[in-house]
Amino acid sequence: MNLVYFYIITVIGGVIASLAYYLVRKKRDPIMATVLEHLTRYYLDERFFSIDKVSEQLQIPKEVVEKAIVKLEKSGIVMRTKRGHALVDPLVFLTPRDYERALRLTKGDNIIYGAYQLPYITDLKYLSVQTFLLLGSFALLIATVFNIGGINATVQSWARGVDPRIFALFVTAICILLVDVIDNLEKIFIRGKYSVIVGVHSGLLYDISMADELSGRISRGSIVKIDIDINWRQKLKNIFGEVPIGDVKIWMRNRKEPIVLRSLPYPRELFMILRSLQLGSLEWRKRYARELALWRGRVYPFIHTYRGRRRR
Amino acid sequence: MSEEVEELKFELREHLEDAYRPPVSAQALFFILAEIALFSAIYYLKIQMPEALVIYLLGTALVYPVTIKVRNFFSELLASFIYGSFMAGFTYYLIYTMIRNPEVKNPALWMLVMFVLVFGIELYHHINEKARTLRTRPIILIDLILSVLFGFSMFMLFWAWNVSTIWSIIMAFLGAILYAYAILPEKPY
Repeated sequence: MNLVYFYIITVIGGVIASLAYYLVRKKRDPIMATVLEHLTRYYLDERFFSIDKVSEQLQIPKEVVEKAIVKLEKSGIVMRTKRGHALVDPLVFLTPRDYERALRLTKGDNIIYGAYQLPYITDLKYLSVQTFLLLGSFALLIATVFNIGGINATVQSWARGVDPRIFALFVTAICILLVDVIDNLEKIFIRGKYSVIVGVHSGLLYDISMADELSGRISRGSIVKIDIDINWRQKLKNIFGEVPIGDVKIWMRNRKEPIVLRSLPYPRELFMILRSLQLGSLEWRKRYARELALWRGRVYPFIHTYRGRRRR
Repeated sequence: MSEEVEELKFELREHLEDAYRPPVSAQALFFILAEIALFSAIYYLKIQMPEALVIYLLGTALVYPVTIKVRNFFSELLASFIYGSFMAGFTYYLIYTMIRNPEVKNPALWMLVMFVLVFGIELYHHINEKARTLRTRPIILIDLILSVLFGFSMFMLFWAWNVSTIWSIIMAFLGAILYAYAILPEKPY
């Protein structure tokens, strides 16, 4: 094998992929990005805003801001109400079908949080199945590369004469596919059984069984105490994984044991939302200005051991 | 939901995610430590070129998206470069070292094609979160084309093994569906 060709091809591959990324990436409208940045920074808390005010704060002509906000409104990011414009809550992770169901079951309530519990995502049994498939196929690959215990003769007979290393690569590919399929099937199951929504008036609603219609209900007034619990597996997932998750515990009146919502996405935001419902006021950002400032400053606000510690 | 909504919501969630992630300096530190460990392992095990470079690039492609959570133009450009260079080098390496008889009737060729199709797209999904989660038209179109290619490769594999045409078609069809189902973008929550 000519190593020079190999190096050249490797570099060319990288350059082509980088060029492809550069060419196909979405060109952001700078005005739209500025407006969106401003709205998420200052109006994420259900406060209303006017086009005039945003125009004044950003020092951008009113017509330009209006155009951007109309575009955001059409996209469903911003909502126009009688009191002005408001940013639609970004903490709704439901599928469109489940979001519609949530709206139907809450009689058109303002849904401020919607997600699925992900109890299997850090479950050791579930992870071990995936690990077994991946590590098993990888072990077969290593065994064929080094012909451990003369395995190549056996593998070659299974593979009708194909090079055992290639057959092992093929098995690895199939195992990777199976892991992905299992993951997708698990998500279907989760979406059928573990919906959780929070409505401004209807409180917290959750599914308690398969094909349930959000029959688990915690009304605004019955919440006594809320807590977040992030175990070490969830913590690792939050640092290195895709979606931040954590358990949220809710104590209700006349009930000793808390209701535990397991591995919910963005648990701190759900905590803040539930706290606001518990207090009966969605203007929680004013009451918790300090915590929110810390949150905005990239500090974990609601874990006591971290409170006050600067992270950036 | 329109593509624009998906894109914009993605950006909103990126802002929210920041509070859960380690600081950028810590992310960079984790990445550098992982790279040093990878390089040391390759050096200690005395792995020769070109295998050493293939393993190094594969390790980097696996570690980079896990440690670096910052999403901006440069971080995504670097991710694309790592992915492209690994896939190009690895495919060249596989073809050069493993296929001695590159004819259509060779099942090894089709097994390798299927491996590259699976590994290539899964690694791409690993390195590019948007491709893994957003169902935009171009992404769905690319996934469908790849699924057809996968099905065709599976048909050719069974055909090379002299399996009857009907069974080859059935297996190829099932394989293509499985592949399409696995690679179609799916929300992680």
